[in-house]
Amino acid sequence: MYSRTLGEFEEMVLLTVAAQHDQAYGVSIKEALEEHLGKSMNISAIHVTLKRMLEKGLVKSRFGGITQERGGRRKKFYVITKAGKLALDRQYELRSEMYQKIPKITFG
Amino acid sequence: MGTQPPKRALKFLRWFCRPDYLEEIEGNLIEIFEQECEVDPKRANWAFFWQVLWHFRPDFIRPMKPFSLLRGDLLRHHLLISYRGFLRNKSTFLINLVGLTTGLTCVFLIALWVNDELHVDKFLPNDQQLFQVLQTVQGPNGMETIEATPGPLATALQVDLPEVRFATKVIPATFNAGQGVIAVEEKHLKASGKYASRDYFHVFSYPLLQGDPSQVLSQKNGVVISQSLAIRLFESPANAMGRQIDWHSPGVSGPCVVSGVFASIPVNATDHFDLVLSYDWYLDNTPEGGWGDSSPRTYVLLKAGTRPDQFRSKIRDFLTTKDNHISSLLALQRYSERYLYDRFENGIAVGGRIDYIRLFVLIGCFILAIACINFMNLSTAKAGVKVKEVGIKKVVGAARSQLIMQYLTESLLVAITSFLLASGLVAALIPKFNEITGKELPININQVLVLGLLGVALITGLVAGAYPALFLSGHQAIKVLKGKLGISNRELWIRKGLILFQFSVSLVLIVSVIVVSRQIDFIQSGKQLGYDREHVIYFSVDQPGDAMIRALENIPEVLSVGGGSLTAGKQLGGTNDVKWAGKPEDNQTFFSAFWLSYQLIETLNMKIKEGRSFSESFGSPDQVILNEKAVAQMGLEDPVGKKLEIGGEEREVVGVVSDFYFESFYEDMKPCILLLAPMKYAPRISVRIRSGAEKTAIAKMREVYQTYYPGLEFNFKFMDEDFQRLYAAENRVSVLSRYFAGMAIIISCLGLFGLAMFMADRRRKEIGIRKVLGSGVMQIIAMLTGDFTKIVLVAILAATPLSYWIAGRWLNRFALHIELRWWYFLLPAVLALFIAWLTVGVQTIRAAYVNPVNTLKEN
Repeated sequence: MYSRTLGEFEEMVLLTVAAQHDQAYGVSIKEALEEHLGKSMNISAIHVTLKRMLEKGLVKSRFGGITQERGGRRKKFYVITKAGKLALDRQYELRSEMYQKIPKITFG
Repeated sequence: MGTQPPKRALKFLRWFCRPDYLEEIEGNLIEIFEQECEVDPKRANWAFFWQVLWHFRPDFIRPMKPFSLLRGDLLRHHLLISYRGFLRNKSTFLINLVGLTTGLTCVFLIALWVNDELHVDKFLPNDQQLFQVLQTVQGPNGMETIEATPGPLATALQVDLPEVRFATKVIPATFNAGQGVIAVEEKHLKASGKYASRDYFHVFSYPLLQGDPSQVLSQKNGVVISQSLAIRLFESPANAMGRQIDWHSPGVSGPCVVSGVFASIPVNATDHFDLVLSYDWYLDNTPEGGWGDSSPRTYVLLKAGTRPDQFRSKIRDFLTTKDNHISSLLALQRYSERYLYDRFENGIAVGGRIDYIRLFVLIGCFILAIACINFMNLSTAKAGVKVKEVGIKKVVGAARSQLIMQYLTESLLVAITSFLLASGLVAALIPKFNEITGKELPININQVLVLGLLGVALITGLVAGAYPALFLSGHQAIKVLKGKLGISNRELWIRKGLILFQFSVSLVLIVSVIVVSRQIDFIQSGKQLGYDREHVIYFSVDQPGDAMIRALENIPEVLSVGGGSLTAGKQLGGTNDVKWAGKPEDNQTFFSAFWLSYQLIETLNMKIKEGRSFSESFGSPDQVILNEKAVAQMGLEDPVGKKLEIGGEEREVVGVVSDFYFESFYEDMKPCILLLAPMKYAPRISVRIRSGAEKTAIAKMREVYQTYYPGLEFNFKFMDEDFQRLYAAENRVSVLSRYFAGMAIIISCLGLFGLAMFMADRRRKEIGIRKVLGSGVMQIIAMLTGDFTKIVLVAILAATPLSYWIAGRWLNRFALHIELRWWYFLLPAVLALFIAWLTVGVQTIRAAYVNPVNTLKEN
């Protein structure tokens, strides 16, 4: 099992991959992130993160078919793996656990 | 959409990106590009570039194999091939090796020398703030910048200007009063000392082994001695403190007490002295004079952060604010820069030794270029043979880059071998080189320098190998193997052009060598001096009595004894405080002043133009003699008998001597006044000796000297040696340039030799056929030599005007110089042609005499 916690950007990308199940690729992830975060993304950062997650086994990839778009280059789609899902779950558990510990005080 | 992403960025991406990610990244980038193109194509282009650059990071860069061209086995192969090549073409290899080694040796020596020159005087910790204040005076030919400054200047600068941290005035050790003898108990030592005001050791941060910088010169009888002197006199620096020494010099004599010891001065300093005495003590015998008089040097230590330029303009008119009769201006120069930049024009340093440094760097580059050219020429000349090898390798599957690498390995191998050989040679030559340059190399060798030199060697190897590597590897395999390789015209032109360049450079060097050595000889012959300095010796004395003079005169080998001396090239004191009847208000002429005694003018054979020389039979000591320049400057008609007021004292002009050179030949004759000093105040005595009898005369004079000054060493100097010292830099340049020009010519000839050998070899068949058809040996020699002759002739045509221009420019820096003669240019030309023929000749004659049967039998 993957024991380390995810980095913030890593987590975002992994979430997007999971959300766009089987249809996630570089540009679609970039657009989704830009939409959610409201700022423009550098695609190279996404590429790097995807590559590192692939190497850690959090995602797996497959090539799509050749189309007329993108100058005939195939898309590389990413799918979250079991390990990736586990890592996300752990991250959420940890977060909510810690969140629960906040005393119920009204901040005002 | 017809827009395409920028090709170059794409190419770059494809080049560096690892293949398993390329398609994804490329696709994504193109998709984004296409989206953005609909909005703003121009921005999209830029964004694409930018994105590609962002991907240039370790994650996506494919495993580069930069060393794939140099993999172990391939490298071994390259080395083996190179080695075999060297064995097969021993002569070419040797020519290359010798040429490159000679070239690198020259360059290394030059580099060592330049490195040393650049470090001279830079050793003081406060070098950045240490400046000398100079005075720019109105000379007869425009402005002239001199070291002498008014006495009150240093103190005034320190008081008036907040930028000045410390200021000091110094009477340099080269002055009369600076050359003296130290006596401690029974020990007598000759030493040179300078007189400096209190803050000297603040301004010049020579480390003090004993004593405190602010205290050591505060007492009038305090003296700071050097480490070596302390050890010689008192065993150790600590032991020396508080001890008494007796100082005898022409100006100042008496006891003084050691108040400090300074560490030995590094070798690469210009200023060497054994002790520093108090300036106040010097003033006891020599009044300081006011703002119009000049003699001490003034140095200032500026506060950190002061901008020299601002300070310079601030002090420019400083003297005028003190005394509005003075029109001379102050200039400022960093002390450590004085060594390299000592030539001034209008108060601004414009050059000096730095010119020679530049010159030699240029020569070094040219020599290296010539050596590289040899390498290129010989390598490409052998193309015919090598190109077959290239063809085969290409057919077998060698990439061009591998072939390029192979040739570069070869040239680098030669370069590295040459580097090692050259280093050995330099080590062997250093003693001789030091002798010529008068330096103590290597004192400044550091890693940077060594790495730099290695870098030069490697770059040389790369440059030399690049052309052959690119040229040879570029041939098409099919053409080569079919034997269709012709030497294109372009190649021939390049090769000829390179030889042309080599010979032109060599020619310019030869002409320069001739001109430089002629000029130096001319200067040193002293024919234009205005006096005769051959067979004249001079020595310091202290209040010589009549008896001693008589005793000297009674030596049969002594022709004449004069009081005083003219020291060559030393900028002596002077004054502009000279008044005469009808002097215009604005005349600020600076007169150099010499104190001399009876008989000196006769001893030196100076020519009296009008009036008479100094003579004891005319009682009054208030006599003065002018030179012609001074008369002209004053605008006096019939000057003999006129009264002058010099520094407030009235003197009568008794004679006029013709102009004479007492300073460097770079400068024009100057107006000067010769003041009569009574014999007993003469600091030196000059003696003319009958030529050929120097040895006996000196021995007898030593006896006389020692009867009058018991215990003192008889130290004398030949006047003409002084001149040699004055032009030491020029002399060195002359000798060095001779060597380097020789080297350049040798290297050029080596190249020519190799090329001739090769040409003769390639045309063997042609020669054979020609001979069979009835051509004579002479015709063949003429045919083979003709090509080279033409190149050398063109080189002569190109080099002559260039060298004429260079030589003219150099000579113009001397006020007194030789005229350029036609043979300075003809001789090198003939020489070059002759050398070329000789080099080529051996080869051609051999080729021409070969029995044609032998050559035609082949194949």
